[in-house]
Amino acid sequence: MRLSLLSMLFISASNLASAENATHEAEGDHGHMSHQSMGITGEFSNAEVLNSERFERLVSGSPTYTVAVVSVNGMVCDFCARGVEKAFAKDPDVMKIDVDLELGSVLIAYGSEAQPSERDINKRIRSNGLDVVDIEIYRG
Amino acid sequence: MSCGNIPPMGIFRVLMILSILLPMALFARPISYAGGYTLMAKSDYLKDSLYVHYSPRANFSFGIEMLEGKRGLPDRSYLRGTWLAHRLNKRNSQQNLYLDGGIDATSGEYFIGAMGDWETRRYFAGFSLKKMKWDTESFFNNYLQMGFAPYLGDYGDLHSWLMIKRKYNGLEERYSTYPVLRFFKGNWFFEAGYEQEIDWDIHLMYRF
Repeated sequence: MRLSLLSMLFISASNLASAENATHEAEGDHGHMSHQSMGITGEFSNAEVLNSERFERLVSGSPTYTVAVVSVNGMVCDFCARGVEKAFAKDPDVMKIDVDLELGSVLIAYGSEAQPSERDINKRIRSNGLDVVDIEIYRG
Repeated sequence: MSCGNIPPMGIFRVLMILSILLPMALFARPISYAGGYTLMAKSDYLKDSLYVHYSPRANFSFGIEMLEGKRGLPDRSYLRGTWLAHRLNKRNSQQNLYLDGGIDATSGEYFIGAMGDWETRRYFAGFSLKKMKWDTESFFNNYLQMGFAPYLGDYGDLHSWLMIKRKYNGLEERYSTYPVLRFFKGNWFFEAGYEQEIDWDIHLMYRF
């Protein structure tokens, strides 16, 4: 059973590979959200998202907007994110969705009358097997 | 690499018809998102198979798999279930461990297995261990697979992976190592590998 042994080695190796990130990201793995930054450090920040062309594109043409910026852990492939888009597309209040795999963020643009709930956003993301790190809702 | 000995593709013809009839929508993991369906077709040295499953939750799926046996193995239909036993989501990676099993209601034959993967946007490594009772045979069918993406596509782009797969064929007690190409775009996933002794190893998925 050489393959079985190699599989065990694989699990160990991937755990080791994750260990460095786990330490780095520990502050972000709380599983609750706030309008305030949750102290995520490193390469990701919502400021980066807000200044992006994606955000501009999402809100362009709308005199007012409500956008939820959701930081998501585990969204490393197109397939992982596909279900997220489907989950929010079912919500009649949602106008547009933008997924950024590089930043691990989902931008959700709502209709002007919508009152997006952080709990609902969290539930929809988690129903896809992904973890929400932070949610911030911006109105403009 | 010769392409002259392509195995029978009866189930793939069925899949082609279904793909025309069904509205556009497929995925790469053994469990879909909550409420999602997955249609999966595989062809390798043991069988051609068609598997449809439903995921009531993001950590469980169940469905029916129809198999056309090769190498003297009879056709079977499994009732299958897959459980996501462990997932670790990180900012730049995801790690999964799945347990699965299936039983043919007519013969009582079964399989049990475990699958795992770890991936980033650039690298992938995965394994599968499967113990099968099929006809008079009882054997393992295992593999290890690793690869990398030569470019990082954005959401919605065509994603391509270059991989290598090492497979243990327990029926004939031999190992094979061969290259695999993986592509996915939208709800479609396609993977193909080839080795002269075992022919094609093909995996096609569609999620909706």
